[in-house]
Amino acid sequence: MSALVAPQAPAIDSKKTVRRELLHELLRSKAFLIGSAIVLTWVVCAIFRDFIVTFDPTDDNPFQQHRQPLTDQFLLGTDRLGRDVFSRVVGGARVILLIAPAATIIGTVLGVLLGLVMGYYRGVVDDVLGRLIEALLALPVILVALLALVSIGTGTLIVTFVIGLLFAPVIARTIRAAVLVERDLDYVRAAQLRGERGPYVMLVEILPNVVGPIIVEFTVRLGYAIFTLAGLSFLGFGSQPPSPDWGLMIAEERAVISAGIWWPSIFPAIAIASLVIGVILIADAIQAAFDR
Amino acid sequence: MGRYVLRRFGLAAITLVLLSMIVFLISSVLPGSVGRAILGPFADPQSVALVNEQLGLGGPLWERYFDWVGGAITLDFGDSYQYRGAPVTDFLWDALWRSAKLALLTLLLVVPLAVAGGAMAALRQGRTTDRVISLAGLTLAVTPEFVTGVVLIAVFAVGLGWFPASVPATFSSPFDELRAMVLPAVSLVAVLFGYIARMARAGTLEALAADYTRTATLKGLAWGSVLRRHVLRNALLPTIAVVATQAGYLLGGLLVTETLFNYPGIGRLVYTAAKGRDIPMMMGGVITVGAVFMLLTLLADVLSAWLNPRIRLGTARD
Repeated sequence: MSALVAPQAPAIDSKKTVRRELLHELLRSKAFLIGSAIVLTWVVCAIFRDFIVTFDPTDDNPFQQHRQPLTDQFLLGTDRLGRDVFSRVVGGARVILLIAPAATIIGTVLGVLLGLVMGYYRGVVDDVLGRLIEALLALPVILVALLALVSIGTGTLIVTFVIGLLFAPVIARTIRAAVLVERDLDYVRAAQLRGERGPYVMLVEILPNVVGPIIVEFTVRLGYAIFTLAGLSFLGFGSQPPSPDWGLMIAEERAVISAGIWWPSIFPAIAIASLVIGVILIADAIQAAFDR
Repeated sequence: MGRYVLRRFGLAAITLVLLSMIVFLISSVLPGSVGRAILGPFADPQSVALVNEQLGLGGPLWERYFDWVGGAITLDFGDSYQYRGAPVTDFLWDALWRSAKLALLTLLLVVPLAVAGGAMAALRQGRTTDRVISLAGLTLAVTPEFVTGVVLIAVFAVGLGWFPASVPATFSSPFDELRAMVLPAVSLVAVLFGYIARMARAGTLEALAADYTRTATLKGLAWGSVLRRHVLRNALLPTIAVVATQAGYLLGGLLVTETLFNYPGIGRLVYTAAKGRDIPMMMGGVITVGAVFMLLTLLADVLSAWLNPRIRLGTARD
């Protein structure tokens, strides 16, 4: 028994070292630190929203003046209903930071399962699913999402699921490629010869060895989930009024930019851009660290 | 070469059929609600059923699919619900042509810019110029088009007054039309620059490290001609493929940009159809975008094969 356990010990040890080195690598990367700082700021806004906001984000107070420019009272001005733009931008962080990660988690779980099955079993399953995925990827995600939302109906929950489902094929393709490399390695052969069933080999043996690509794919997709969800909200198929959704705020207030009232739309625009950039900087740094 | 092209054509045809099934299935999840959407929430169930019947929504799913696909093959996508009676095709070609013009302007701006940027980044690999170009490309690529668009409108249309904030219905001259297209095109350039520059950078790096570049340098060729004749030419090969895929993406990604700038292309057509629950119009628009995308990818594959003997002669399959 001890003969079987002994050779495993150094393997675990080296895995730990690899993980520590990875962390060191990340902490030395400027892109990672800047990205984390941005994302963390928005996470703090989302969690401690009620302590940060100066007004209720959805409260259209008729006593406040509408479309007020930036003042000491209204840090970023007010919108067409007299709502405080600063409070709405802070509140918007909670909206996007709930649905974007949820959608990405759904997509990643489905995509990883699909990728494992395709890469491990190959054959007909792989061919058929591969063709379907390629067909689906011939269309921009936002277009298919719009089609689905029109026929199913809108709502935060539905949008989250639709984006999750549509991200699954892309993730599956990446994971499949990683599984293809693993499936011919000795440890998989050994498990098969031991008589383990397919699901065991995939989930217990292969899955821990493709964690790297999964993490990279998750962070990249998170960035694109924010991108896509903001776009859908902008088109009116995401969060519905009076939600302080950033995309929706821009859609509602963009018409009056030409009248010189820029603050209700430019600040949410900056918010979206900064969050996506923060996430993608993290994703890029993680990818670079894994590649090394 | 012949066999390779034939194989690619076959695959594209299969993909197109699958695509039509996906588009049809997604749009037919709740077929009954179409009549309800047209007549409103207070109509009685009989009238709703009658309208559904008239629109041909009564039969079984596969029958309706073949009806739709049969029409789509002859470029007949049915009649619009919104503009009652008017065939979808009438709107489709105009919109597609408008979008193609916008896409062309975007590509004319972005390709030289991104290739130059990518090559410059590769030549200064690891230095500040490389970092700045790569990082700027990445951040612009992930910033949604309407975010860049809104900022562009605030600065260049409202602040400086150089370009119109939205595209007018008619133009007094082709120059006016071009001027109206600049801001939408620039917001699309911002998204595409990163992808194309990244490919151009990778292609240039690969060509710089290749044996033929070393040979050319060692035989005493001036650095300028090494770059022009050996490095850049080879670096452009992978860039062609990415330009074609991005051009296809452009046609669909126009959705948000065209809505923001009121540009009457295929993206806004799909958007207005979605708003009005005009399902035939939506399906027609979406499947057209998919087909155009596939055609462009096919074109890129064939072009790369023609330019690259390794693929043409079948040494590197798939």
